[in-house]
Amino acid sequence: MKFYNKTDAIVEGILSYLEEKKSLDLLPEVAKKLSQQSFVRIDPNLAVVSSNVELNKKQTDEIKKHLSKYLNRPIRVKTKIDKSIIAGLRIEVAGQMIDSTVNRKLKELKTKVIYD
Amino acid sequence: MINISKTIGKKIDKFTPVLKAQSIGQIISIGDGVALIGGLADAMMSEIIEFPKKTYGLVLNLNKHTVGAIILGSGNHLKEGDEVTTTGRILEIPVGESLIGRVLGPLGNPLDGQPVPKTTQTEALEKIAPGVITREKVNQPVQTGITAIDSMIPIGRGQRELIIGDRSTGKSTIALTTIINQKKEKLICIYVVIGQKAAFTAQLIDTLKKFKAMDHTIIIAANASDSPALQYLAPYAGVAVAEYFAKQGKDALIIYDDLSKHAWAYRELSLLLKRPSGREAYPGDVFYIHSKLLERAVKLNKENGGGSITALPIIETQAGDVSAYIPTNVISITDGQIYLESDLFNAGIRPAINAGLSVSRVGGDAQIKAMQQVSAKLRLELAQFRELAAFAQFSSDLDPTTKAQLDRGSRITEILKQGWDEPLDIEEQVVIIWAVTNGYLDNVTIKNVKQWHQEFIKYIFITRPKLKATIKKEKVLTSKILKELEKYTQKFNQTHPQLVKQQEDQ
Repeated sequence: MKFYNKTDAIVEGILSYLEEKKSLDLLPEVAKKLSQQSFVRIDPNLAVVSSNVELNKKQTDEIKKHLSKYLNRPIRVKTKIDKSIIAGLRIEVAGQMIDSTVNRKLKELKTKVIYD
Repeated sequence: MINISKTIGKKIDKFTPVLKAQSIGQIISIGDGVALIGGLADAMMSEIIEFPKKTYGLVLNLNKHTVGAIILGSGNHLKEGDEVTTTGRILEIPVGESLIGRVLGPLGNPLDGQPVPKTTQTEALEKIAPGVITREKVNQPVQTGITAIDSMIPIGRGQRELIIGDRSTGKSTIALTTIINQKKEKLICIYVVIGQKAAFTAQLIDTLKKFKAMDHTIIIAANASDSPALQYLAPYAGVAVAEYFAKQGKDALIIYDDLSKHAWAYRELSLLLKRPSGREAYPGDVFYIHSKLLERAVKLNKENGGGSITALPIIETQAGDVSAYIPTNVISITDGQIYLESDLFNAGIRPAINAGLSVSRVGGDAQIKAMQQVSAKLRLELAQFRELAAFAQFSSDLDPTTKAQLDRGSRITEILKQGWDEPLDIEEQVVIIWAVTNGYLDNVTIKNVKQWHQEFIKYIFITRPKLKATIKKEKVLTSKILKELEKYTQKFNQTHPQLVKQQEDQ
């Protein structure tokens, strides 16, 4: 119910259009195209910060301040909790990634031991 | 077991994680060795990108939101959504003296079961060809050891000479004979195999080893089972290796076997990358991929070390059609072509070179004087013979001059026949062409010509041991040498009546 209320007017419009044209079977194709677009469309002003534990306001503000200074424009910060990263931070912003997580280091070590 | 854990321990000790901002992207779609990647905003043209598990790719397309890349090697483990990072490097191949005698893949990986060659340098695969300032005119010959080529279609160091013909007309064989003949010539040979059967490569290695020619040869192979990406890169890898030697003032010979398959591989890649296709479904830049490759053949001037890269590209035609797209492209890029015909091949004329259609646009300057002296007459007599032979088919009784010309022509044809494993020294070629064009074989029956040829070469250089050295030194047939040749050829004909006599019986 909660999600239903949030359904975007545009989505509703598309769905009713598809229904009208009797083309609801195209939905998977539309979904595929949209998910591909999601790889491509990156909000240049949004930073996604992943961490193992929740960050407090002070920490988030600090990250925001530094990123805005580094990229020379106001940056919004979205935090995400990801238990698989073990420890450290991963910051993704404008197609760039700064990854200082333990998980990443372990992965790098693994490739080095196996392939070098 | 202890050793393994020790090695792993050492590797772990050495490992120092580095923290840096990386440009990242994700695979949107992947298949047939081609990946479409989202993100990767910093990717550059021809940059190497890294996929998971140390798999690399090469950027070939930069679109508004996506990057098109070819995967180098196997990409079976890759899937949609996998992370891709840029490396800031362009494609390079390790180069060095240790490559000589080896069989390598286009990325420098050994294919002969031996360890990776020890090298300290690398050369970029994609490079702009040397400019006008660094070049000079072709002035030194490449001796192929094939009489028909060295006399009529001479190749100079730094030249690009196309070998063109239908399947199984002896195209690769000409290249092979040329490599075998370079034992004494200080010419480093690089054989690039593109899209051929692996059995062909194996046979090539065996043959070269048998003739001890691997001591000056490097084979770069992308066989038919390798991905089109590797087949596309193989010739560029080959020329990068050649450039390493040329930079040091050495002479290199590179054979591309063959560029038709290279064009096919590039067409495949381009279609998969959804580039617009043109004539015969080739992309618009198919001319450029060959011209930028063949422009890298060079004769450097003295200030730049004087090294050279001679290129012998091979093109396979379909049913003798030289006016198809790729053959005409490559003909227009190169400095001449050696045209092989299946009719001649089947008639037993091997090498099956069509002397009328084959040309060398710059090689004449590189030919040694002695060869120039004798080959001018050879060309003329052969051309007259061809013209007459066409008419003579219809008439029964011929006047004596015509008959003499026909007889001379058929003997010349016979002299130019040569086994692929019997390359001749330039001095031997000069002497034999001199003999045939001056009528010393006119009384020898056709079937005895080969024997006459062999015995005469043996005789003249045994009785006159200094002759070879004199021709080599003087580089010209002086009147003194000519007199000597006349005297001893006459003597040879007198002392070998069994070879000459039969004509009188007829």
